[in-house]
Amino acid sequence: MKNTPSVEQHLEIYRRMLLVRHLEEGLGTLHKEGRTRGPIHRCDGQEAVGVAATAVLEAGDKVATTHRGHAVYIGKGMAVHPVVAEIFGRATGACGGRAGHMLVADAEKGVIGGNAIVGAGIPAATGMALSMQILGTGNVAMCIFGDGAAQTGICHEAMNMAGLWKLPVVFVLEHNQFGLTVPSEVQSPVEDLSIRAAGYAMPAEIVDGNDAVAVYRAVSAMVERARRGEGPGMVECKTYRIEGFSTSDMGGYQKPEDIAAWKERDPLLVSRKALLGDVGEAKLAEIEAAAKAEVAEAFETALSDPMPEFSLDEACNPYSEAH
Amino acid sequence: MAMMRYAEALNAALREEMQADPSVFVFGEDIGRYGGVFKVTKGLMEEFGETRVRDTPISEQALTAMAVTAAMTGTRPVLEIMYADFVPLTLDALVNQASIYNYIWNGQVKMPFVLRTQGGGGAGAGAQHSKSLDSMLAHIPGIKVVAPSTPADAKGMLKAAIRDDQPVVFLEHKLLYNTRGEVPEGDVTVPLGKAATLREGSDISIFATSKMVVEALKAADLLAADGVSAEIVDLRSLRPLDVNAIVASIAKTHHAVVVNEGWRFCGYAAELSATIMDHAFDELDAPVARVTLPDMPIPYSEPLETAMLPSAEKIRTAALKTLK
Amino acid sequence: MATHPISIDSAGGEYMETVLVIAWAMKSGDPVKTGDLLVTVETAKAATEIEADRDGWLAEIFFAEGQEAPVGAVLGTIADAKPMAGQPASVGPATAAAAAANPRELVADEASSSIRPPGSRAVASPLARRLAASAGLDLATISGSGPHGRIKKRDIDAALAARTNEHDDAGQRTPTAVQTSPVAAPALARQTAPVVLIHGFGSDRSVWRQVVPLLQSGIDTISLDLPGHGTESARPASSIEEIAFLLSDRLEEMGVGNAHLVGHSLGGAAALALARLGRLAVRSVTLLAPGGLGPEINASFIAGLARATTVQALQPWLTVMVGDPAALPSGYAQAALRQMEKAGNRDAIAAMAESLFPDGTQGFDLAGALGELAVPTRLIWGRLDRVIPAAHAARAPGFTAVHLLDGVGHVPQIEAPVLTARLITETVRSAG
Ligand SMILES: Cc1ncc(C[n+]2csc(CCOP(=O)(O)OP(=O)(O)O)c2C)c(N)n1
Ligand SMILES: [Mg+2]
Repeated sequence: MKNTPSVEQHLEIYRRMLLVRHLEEGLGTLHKEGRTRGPIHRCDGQEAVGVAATAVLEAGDKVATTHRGHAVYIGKGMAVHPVVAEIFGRATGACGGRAGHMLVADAEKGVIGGNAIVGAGIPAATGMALSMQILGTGNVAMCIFGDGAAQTGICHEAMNMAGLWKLPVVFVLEHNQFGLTVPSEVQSPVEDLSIRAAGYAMPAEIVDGNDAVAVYRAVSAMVERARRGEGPGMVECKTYRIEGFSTSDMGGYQKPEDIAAWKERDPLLVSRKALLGDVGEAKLAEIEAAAKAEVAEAFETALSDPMPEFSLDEACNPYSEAH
Repeated sequence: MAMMRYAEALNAALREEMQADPSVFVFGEDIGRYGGVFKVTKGLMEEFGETRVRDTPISEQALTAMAVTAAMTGTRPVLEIMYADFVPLTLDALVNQASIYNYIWNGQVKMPFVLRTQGGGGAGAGAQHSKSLDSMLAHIPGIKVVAPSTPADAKGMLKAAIRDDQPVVFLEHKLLYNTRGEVPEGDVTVPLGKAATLREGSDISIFATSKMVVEALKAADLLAADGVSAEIVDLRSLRPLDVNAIVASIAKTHHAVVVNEGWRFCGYAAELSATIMDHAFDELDAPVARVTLPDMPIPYSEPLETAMLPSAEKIRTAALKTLK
Repeated sequence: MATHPISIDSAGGEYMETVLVIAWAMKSGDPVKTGDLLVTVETAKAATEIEADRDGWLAEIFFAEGQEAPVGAVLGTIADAKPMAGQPASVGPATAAAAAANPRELVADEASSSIRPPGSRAVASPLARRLAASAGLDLATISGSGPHGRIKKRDIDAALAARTNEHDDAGQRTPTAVQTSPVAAPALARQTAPVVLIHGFGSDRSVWRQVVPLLQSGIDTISLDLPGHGTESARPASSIEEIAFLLSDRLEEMGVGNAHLVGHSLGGAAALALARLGRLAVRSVTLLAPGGLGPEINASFIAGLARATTVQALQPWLTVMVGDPAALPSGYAQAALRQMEKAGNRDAIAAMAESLFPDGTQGFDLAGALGELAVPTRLIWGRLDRVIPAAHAARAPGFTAVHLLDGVGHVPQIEAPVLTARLITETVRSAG
């Protein structure tokens, strides 16, 4: 089928999804031990969206993501250690410990960046696309955003301009069924949010968000269009948030049977099954062990990395001379 | 009197006001079924139903603008904005809508709505979930801004805010929700615009609101060990400001430290300093000291965040310097 | 005409800040030859003689004998030409360059002893400034213990304590002795001074009824009846001095040694006389349309007020009293009459009018007493005053805050009670 990832590409997607999974699980364990700080928004079970969508992108393309962006960071090529170190506020973190897990950025890798103001990533990516159009770089901007973010006013404003100006931006909707604790039907009168794309003259496609290959294919098609200058597109990835909103979620509003059903369709299982025939068990086991070890080592190093030291930010000094 | 947490006191205020007045309704993100991310609205949907307790989409700008006109047309909305960091999204409704109508329409409309929100750092929530934007709000004419520090005031002032015919922004602090205190039972309100002297002292006056009052009280203990008698004035209300209480305290101590968890430049502490200069210049025996957040974003990493936040120790240092 | 400074830069020792002028060898206008002895000053070590560095005429003397001058200050000038009698020599460029601050200002503004170099402003907290002013202390004589040498309240307190000790040592301080400086407040017993309110002619202390509750809480008040008025109808007085004595006695009986004075009309004059008497430490003075600042007074008003026995007779005079008759509370005339009946003091008042305002003229001048005040002073006058002209406010010295109220007549405390209360509060507060 058109735009299907090669086996190698799929393997790499699988490997990165594994990294993310171990990262999330490691954070969960450390959270229970009281060793994390602040809320952490895990994306276990949703890795296919962030990893497969960004796997389509080139190095010069940019991505803006959400508070739940770990899969996007790793998917767009960041190594595990700087991400983990950032989450633990270390000097060696991707942002020197200043950003924390929700706001990670790696400008060189095109990750700019995580964003904890819901909806803010949508105009962010649109603005990057505007710059790309003006400079004629041939690059594409991508926004990963949630079903909650889709309800913000700024979403409409940004998408309208993207459609109007045919900006090279792809909107990847990570529809995990919940805003924070509020289920989709309490946030929106329509189930498939991508029907709104019609109002902005953009094509949209709904895919199984737990199937990395499906996500890859749909996003590739939109990215190619955008790169050709044909304007924005939207991909609505249906998935499910199995681990609660964040580590501070007190739960009680997700149905255990829903969680169980979605766990059976875990994106890692879906990809593993697809890859097994192509590469065999031994290869997969090798990749799995390596991913696990890589993450374990990243945690170990990060946790013994030094903390940053505070200094005033001169750029914020309100006086015209140092004061 | 009953021992209550700050969040429970707010919950009691909402419940009582909703029971007493059917025009009171609450809405906001995750406040219904879930009971609010800080559990302030817990149980309200069960008791009052989905019409008067509404979970909303993530739409701060529209929600606030809707609160303004819902209030104009007979209801008393209480809107929860989950984090003070999202206040900028509400600002058009506050600055260009709520603040102007009573005056320009010559008193024809009332706007009895309350915008509850919580701010503040210290929880490792990062640059977009830790701010205190008091001054941005207190800057707006026609809107009251209050920030109680105790459970008793939280309850009494929220009740008063709901009954107030002007828009009231009610500022809470994420690190106060779990603090406990005695709360008078029943229909007790605390007037908006009145400060409370929580600790009498003779050497220096420390003015604060919200969580900074807790820090100021700790600072007073530290200062007592230094041989300094500090008076702690909980302003409780940022606007209207109890200037008489400020002047009276400074007339006694002649030294002032103002504390605010917001940024320094054009911040609320700057307003307090200027107010003191306006009204009590001749009482001052030293310049007013400001203890604030430095002018920069709030970093995530613990040592960075801790270094930035105003604290009891920083208040103490400022007080000692002022008394030099 | 060019002049040249006589300076003492070279005469002062390195660690000296001031020198004492011992003697001028000549007087202003005398001719001077290079090398002539001009002036002898005392430095740390010894008497130092300053000689003329040019020929000319001794033009001006800025520091008189016995005065201390800061090192670097200009003591006087030598003119190139003989100064004409009665015409002060202008200060030439050389002089201006020699001293950043005009030395004449130094003499005028600061006390003779200064421990600060000329031109440098004393760094003091607002509170310290205020306390020093009300205690008559010169900041220039005090060294500050705060950051950057800032003078703080504690430094003023220390200076005052030192002063008290000196007085004690000299045996000058007896409890009843009249202080040399009539208005120097002790400043140490702050917070406790009450506001003493003194009403005007023909009225009584109830005239403050509206204002008193509007004063800032925490301000204590004592409303006194003037001699011959209200409860004091049995004890009239015939001169402003006598009024001051009687009021002072009453305050002394009440144990008030320290007060803020508020006086209206004749009561304003009484307040000034009381301050001049010096038996009371006066902390601040607020005067409402006071007497004593000019000869004019509306004689027919005084006579009419003293004579009226019916509402019909009194009403027109009360109308004269205010800017807008609507400002008078309804029934005011009846109440005023009843009050006079009750006091039975019509004759006493008439007699006082005769002696205080002979031939329709204010028989006392208290502008001098006003000029001597060294405490916060405020003058409030209705522009529409038809009893004592508001033009008298022009005699207020520069340190007095003057408030001229539009639409208000002779009794601001009735016509504008809120503003009056506010202004009294501010005066009191500014005095601490
Ligand atoms: C402007 C704004 N409003 C509210 C919030 C609080 N909040 C954080 S995440 C979230 C839900 C977001 O839902 P969605 O966009 O679907 O993302 P998900 O958490 O499901 O990944 C909310 C309400 C916020 N961060 N920013
Ligand atoms: Mg969602």
